[in-house]
Amino acid sequence: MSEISALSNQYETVVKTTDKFNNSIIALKKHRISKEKSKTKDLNIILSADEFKKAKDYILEFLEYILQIQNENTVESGVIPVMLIKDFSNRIKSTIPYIEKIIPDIIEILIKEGELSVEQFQLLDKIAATLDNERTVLFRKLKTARG
Amino acid sequence: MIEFINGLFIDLRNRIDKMVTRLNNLSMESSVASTFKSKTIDLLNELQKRIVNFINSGVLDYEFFISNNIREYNSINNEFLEIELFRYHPISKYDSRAYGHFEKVIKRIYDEIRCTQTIPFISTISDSATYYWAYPKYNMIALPQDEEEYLLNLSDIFHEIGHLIYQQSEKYLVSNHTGYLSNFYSSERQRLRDEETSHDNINDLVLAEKCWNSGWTEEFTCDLIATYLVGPAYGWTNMKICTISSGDNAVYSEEYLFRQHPPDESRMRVIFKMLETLGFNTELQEIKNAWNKFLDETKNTKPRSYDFIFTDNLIESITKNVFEACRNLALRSYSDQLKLKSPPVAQVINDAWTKIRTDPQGFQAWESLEISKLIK
Repeated sequence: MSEISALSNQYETVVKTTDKFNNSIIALKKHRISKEKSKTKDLNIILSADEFKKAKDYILEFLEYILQIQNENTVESGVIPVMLIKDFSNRIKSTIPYIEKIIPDIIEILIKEGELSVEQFQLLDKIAATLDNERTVLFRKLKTARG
Repeated sequence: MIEFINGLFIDLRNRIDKMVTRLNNLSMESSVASTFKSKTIDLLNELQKRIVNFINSGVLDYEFFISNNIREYNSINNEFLEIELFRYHPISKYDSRAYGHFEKVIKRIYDEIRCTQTIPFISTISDSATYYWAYPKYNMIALPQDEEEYLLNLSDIFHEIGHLIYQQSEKYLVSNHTGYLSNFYSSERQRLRDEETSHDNINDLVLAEKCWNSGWTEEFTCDLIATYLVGPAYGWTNMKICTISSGDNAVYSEEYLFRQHPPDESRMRVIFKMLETLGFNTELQEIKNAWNKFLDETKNTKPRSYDFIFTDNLIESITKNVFEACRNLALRSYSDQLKLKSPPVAQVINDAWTKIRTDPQGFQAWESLEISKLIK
């Protein structure tokens, strides 16, 4: 019997996390851009206060999680499958070597309800890209396991 | 770049559209296949809506969102590929002879084991190397092409059914064991520290606990469910698989212990434990004699820490938890199936293993006859 069942569980977890993180970044970007009225001509920005809060809270939670795993504190949380945490942590380190310095700044801004800079949004996008990478690798394994 | 990404979404929307049209033009004979097809169309339509909603949100028109738009495209595209791989291909290759055969067999099995879950869709898109596999998310099981002509591997369909049962009943099946495992490994790590054992062994226990929690527990559980349902035949089928892996020095997972599946040797021990619990002592001794000879002859090597990781008490703990859960789930054990009016599928598989060992020359003709009787 092949490894498909175990892989499909891991894949589902990574898909959920990647989509939720990406959608949360989109919500934060919509919130930022909604303040620049000239840029919102066609953008369907109906972002409620609740939606914005949920997105911000999720990003905060995930950033705290990244700091935890960078400190090798690998708690089973359903965010990233346990067997993939080390791989994900290494990918993050190699993509964003200074991440442990930058994340606390972003966390502070979000808690104080400030505005993130373009560079800080780019960092969040890099994290999302790393998650996407993890998802792609897993899907390739699923495909191969299927034969 | 904005136009390029916009184009990708439109192209994907068109592909989904055409896939739905092709599916609508396929007629499925059985209700299980027809339901599987309808559900596939529903999933594709939901994916269509997701694309349309995303296009309508307006974010595709802004450079600020390019990175996120690429992520979203990848997400939707991967979901499309998943549906194509695990639903569309199996449906497209629907062969009423092979699929029809297994629709009857699986329905019989579900009645005989008294499983009230929805009967899975069975496809023969797999091959002998990839073998049997289940995709619980889609409630489907895949078997190798032409598998409808053979009996000896069929006990493994019960392992795959185990994955579908696990998906719904995990906490009943293993929660007692999981707690026990965590406490046991914790005290073992302390013992090794106190004895000033090599740090490698302690690290191995940390890795092993992660493996139990991310795949081993489920695989052992499916082996135990299969043994509960199909009896001694599962031991023989497992030995067949071990024969193949022994060629790679992999009976104890040497070279790479910490992978998705637990080692074959440890799986055989849980099978033995379940057979002992069910009271199949004569058959158990027969398999054990063959197994011990097999281990002796193949001389596969054991990785470091193997004996710390797969201790007898852990084997007993998971067996006890799964056995009690199967009882509580009212699944009909192999012993109880033998009391049914007609011989169950599980008995035919056991008879096949007896026949191949006692009359190998006469096996093929016997097998063909039994298979034809299975689906009457």
